Amino acid sequence: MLQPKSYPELVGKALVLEAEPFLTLVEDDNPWVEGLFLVTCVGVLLGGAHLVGGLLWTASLPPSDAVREALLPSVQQLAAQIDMGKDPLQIEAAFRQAWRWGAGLIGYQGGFARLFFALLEPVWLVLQWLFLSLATHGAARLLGGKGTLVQMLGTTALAVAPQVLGVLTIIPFVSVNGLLLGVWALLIAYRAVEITHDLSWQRASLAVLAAPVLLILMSFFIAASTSLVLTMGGGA
Amino acid sequence: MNSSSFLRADGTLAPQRTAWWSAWLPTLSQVQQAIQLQFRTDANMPHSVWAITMRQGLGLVVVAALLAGFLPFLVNAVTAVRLGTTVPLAQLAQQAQEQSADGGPLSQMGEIWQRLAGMPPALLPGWMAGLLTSLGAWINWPLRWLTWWLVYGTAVLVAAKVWGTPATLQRFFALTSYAAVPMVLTGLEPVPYLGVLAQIVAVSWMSVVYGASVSAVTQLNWRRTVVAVILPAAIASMLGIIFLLATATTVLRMIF
Repeated sequence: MLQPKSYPELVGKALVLEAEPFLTLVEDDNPWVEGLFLVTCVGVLLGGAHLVGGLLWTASLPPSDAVREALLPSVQQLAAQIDMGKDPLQIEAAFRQAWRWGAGLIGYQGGFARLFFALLEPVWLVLQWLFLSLATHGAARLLGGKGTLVQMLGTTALAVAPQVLGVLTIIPFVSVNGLLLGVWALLIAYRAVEITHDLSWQRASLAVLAAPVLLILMSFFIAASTSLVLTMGGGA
Repeated sequence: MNSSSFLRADGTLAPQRTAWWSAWLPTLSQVQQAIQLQFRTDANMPHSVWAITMRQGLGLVVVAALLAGFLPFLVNAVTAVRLGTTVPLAQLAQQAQEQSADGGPLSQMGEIWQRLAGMPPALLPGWMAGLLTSLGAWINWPLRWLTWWLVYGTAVLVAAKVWGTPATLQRFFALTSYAAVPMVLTGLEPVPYLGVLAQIVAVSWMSVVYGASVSAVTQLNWRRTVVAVILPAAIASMLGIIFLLATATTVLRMIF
């Protein structure tokens, strides 16, 4: 069992794609527990950073109500120009409603939405880790991989390493590009597959692409099903 | 005995002196060789451009981006602290001001931005909101550069792999990190006239260093290197155009 104080070193070495942290987890007596704990730790850290950063963001902007009142006349004017409505009171009510929803969702008005998303962060990361591990392991086994699922759960947990950059969002207006996080995570997952399953780079690349391809296919399927249900509902 | 000697006066061997940052950054001599395109030196020399790890490459990209972002950080901090607001609002208000200074009337949005920039922050003192958000804008520099280095680099390596290059991920990222150095010149952006010139020089120089480093690490000839470097941008542009056309067609169909 690894000590949690060794996690920063593991994460740092995984970020630069060194083999050592992957080998450490492959040879660990309980890789999946290590993986789960590592992912949860990063999730809690990230959630805390998002919460504090979000509160600082709200505190550094003008009050939500004042911004809404400043925007209202322009919205009414714009709505009249593009024939969205002539009644200013109706437009004002709709705008206030939309503002309440939007500002509440991004946590501009208060901390409850931010607290909710902060608590959700570790759960979300654990789900991503499970999906990535299972999809990649399945593909790697199909391609002749020799590693076990337990080992794969351990090594794939290192793909959470780039998420550590999210701690910087504690400073208002710092944004970490999702593309950077996604591609970096896939590069780490590629090293995980290559080392755990002892595959060639071609096979490891194919295996690691299984997760995003599966995700895209699932999105298409859900979008198509939703659209079909809506069309049938509309027809009825 | 000079500083590079490891033999003590009594004949015993002294431990090698290494600075704490040497694991995170290449030496100045390595960087100088790389930006002068000297990639064909002996790979076994301890201070050749090849003796760089991905960790040092990562450090180089981050430090170069922080250096480039320093002057814009100072300009942003002074502007935002003086206005007592966040950097994005200060920039929008300043843009609106510049538009009206050109002789045109202040647009409706311009008026809104100026009004918002004039409002005090909800809780923090204005100067602190300005300083914090300037710091945030500065930190975004290395994050943006890391995105280019890793995401675009991965696409270039995939393109190069089509021709069977033996380059590994770590080696590729380590060598291509040198291309971040000329981009430090983009930090001169706030300087009138010189800023534009510096950006043109920076991008041209970076492209040449990037091409040379890709060619060296992938062992491809120049023609294939150019194709590998340009292909990801070409595919991304093509996909972007297709997406835009599809969106425009859908919107037009909805309207008419």
